[in-house]
Amino acid sequence: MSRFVSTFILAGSCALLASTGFAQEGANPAGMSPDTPGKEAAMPAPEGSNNQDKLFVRQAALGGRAEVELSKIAQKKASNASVREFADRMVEVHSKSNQQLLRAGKGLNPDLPRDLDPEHQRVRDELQKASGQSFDIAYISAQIQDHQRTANLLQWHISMGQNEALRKYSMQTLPEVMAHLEHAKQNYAMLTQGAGSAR
Amino acid sequence: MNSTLAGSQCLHQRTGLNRKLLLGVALMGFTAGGGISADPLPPDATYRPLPTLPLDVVRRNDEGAKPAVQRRQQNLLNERYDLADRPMQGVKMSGGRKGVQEGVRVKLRPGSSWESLANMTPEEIKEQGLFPAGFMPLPHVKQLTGGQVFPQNQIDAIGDAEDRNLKRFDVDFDLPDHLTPEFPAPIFLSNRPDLGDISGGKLLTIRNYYAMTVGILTPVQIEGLRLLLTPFPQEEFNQTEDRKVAEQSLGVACLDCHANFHTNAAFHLTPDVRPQAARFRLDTTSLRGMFNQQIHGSKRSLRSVEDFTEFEQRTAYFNGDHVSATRKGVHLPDRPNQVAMMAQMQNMIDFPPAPKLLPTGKLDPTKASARELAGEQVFMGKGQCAGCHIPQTFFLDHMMHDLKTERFYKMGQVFNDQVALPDGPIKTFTLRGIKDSPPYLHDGRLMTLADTVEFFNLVLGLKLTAEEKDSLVAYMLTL
Ligand code: HEC
Ligand code: HEC
Repeated sequence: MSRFVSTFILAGSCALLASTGFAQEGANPAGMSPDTPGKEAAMPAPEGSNNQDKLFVRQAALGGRAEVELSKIAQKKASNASVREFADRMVEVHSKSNQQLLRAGKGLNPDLPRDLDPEHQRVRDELQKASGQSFDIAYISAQIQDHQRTANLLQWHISMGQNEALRKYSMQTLPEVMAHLEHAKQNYAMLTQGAGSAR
Repeated sequence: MNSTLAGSQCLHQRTGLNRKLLLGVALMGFTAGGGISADPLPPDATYRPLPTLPLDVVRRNDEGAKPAVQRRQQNLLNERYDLADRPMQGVKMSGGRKGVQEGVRVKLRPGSSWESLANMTPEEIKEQGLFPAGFMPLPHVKQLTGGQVFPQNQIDAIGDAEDRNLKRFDVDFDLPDHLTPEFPAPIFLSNRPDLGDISGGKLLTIRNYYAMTVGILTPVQIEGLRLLLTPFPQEEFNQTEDRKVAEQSLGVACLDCHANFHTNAAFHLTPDVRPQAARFRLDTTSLRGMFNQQIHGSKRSLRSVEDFTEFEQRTAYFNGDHVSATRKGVHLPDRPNQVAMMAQMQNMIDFPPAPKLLPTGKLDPTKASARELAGEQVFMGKGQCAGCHIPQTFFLDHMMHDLKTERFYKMGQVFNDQVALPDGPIKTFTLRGIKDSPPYLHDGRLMTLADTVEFFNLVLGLKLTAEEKDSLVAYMLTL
């Protein structure tokens, strides 16, 4: 994990959380933590969670927040109509998704920093300096990378996570994130007149 | 991850001093480290984590979960396919002991027909969610654990012959027996075409191979065969606590999947993709006719039987993971001796005879029926099949092609813990002896030849008529 993690001011409460009432959906996960709660063999309590769940909430929340913040800049500065539309959509969808995430991961104490992580701070600085076509390209490039990262993060969490509510969140979110990625690649191809990015 | 971080949040909130200290360290890292990048994914996104629970607990959990695991997969299969036992009249697999299943088994979505789908664009089908689920990637029964899963016939035969247990405690095979290849499959030798099937209806094992082959094979081939039948420790079958079989296991032999050098439909997950939920299922390929094949593996495109043979053992049979394999006891066959002998043996395996085919790969018009000949016409013409499955070169083109099925569905949907992703380029499989090796495609998502015709009709946008589709199936049965 990044060496910056600990520097962030921690938000959130120390309250332990109440369980959410999701039914055990499918089979048991590939690997369970030694401290997995659950009364019966093979039936981990749906509200149980592992380290991967915690890490996931933190990373996904960080990514989601950057998404909204950078897209808000693009709402103001993007010159291309399609890019502006994309930014509108990102602000709307990711604001909602971030809330869902925090609801699903409530009580996992995800150790959230208050500001963006350093990489996204740098992207924010760059975007604030850029203008015109080069702004649009910089914003969309960052969006492609962020959506690649988020898609991988979700796929990893679906693979390794344990908490039912969170896994459900990841499964519901993934197709949307992948559609955004496609959309971002199409925008990039349109802006740069390169066909290379869109499938 | 650093679990103490998440866990010690309350403590951190009260220790401002601690925070400043860490900030300083971080800033040092910032200046010294140069570029900043976000946190990478944790190692278990690529590497297999070590078990954290004792084997008896794992086993209890896995056995407890197994009924639900199997039920979930059965539900998925029943939603996607008609799994009924409906063999064709008058057609058997090459050994003459098992029927070939007829008809389209992939189920349509409500409100669509094969004709209506053929007249829609991929975008429309995707938008309306009408792509039949059976055309999408097929998940492993237990995707998140994955690993090799053997059909019951193989488990029983190896249990009887070798007293070796191929049954996993966490997962069972999922397809009904009538949708899998003939077992044990006939064996045809390219060095002794005069003999025909040399299996005598028996499964080759480490206990009987010598008597079955002495006088037919060379010493080098027999030694290769011995190695192909010798079990070695593998990911789920080994002696460590990280296994999925009750007792310490001697392991798995090559021909446990490639039974009699064909396939018994044992399945696995691709080694080539991570993370786990993104890996696609792999249906065991037949080893028949490999002497003519120039690329091996659906994705890896290994360039020789030797490379494939050496590598398959090196990385725990399809986990793409030399790290884990090493821990469980790896077999590193010696390249000039052992690998070469194993490869030579594999290269002696021929396709079943196809009496209606001429040496050119074309149908003999004096032997083929009108329907079969009509099917050949479609194959060469409107169906465009021969563009990739070139008759003269054993229906291969030694290429990989991207069929882009994801044009028809929303990527990223999750079915039984598998993420539906584009397949990307996949090797063209041969169609020689094709009636012998259901299920079809690299992951076994199609149950019958009629399914493959509907699949290509849609994916290639062919608009074949019902009659053309039927004749294509009749044609493929002659190959
Ligand atoms: C768990 C079942 C299993 C075992 C055990 C196994 N294989 Fe395979 N084999 C497969 C599958 C599945 C494929 C298809 C791989 C792919 O598509 O990437 C395959 C492919 C191959 C191929 C390439 C065939 C082609 O058409 O591209 C060769 C050669 C091969 N195996 C040889 C071996 C040898 C040699 C061994 C023993 C060292 C072995 N296999 C053990 C399942 C198995
Ligand atoms: C663009 C090249 C291409 C064309 C054209 C094509 N195929 Fe294929 N075929 C492939 C590839 C690649 C695969 C393997 C796909 C996979 O496993 O995902 C395949 C697989 C198959 C299989 C399954 C083989 C097996 O062992 O599982 C059958 C049957 C088949 N094709 C029949 C046909 C027919 C019939 C046509 C014409 C209607 C056709 N193909 C046209 C490339 C092609």
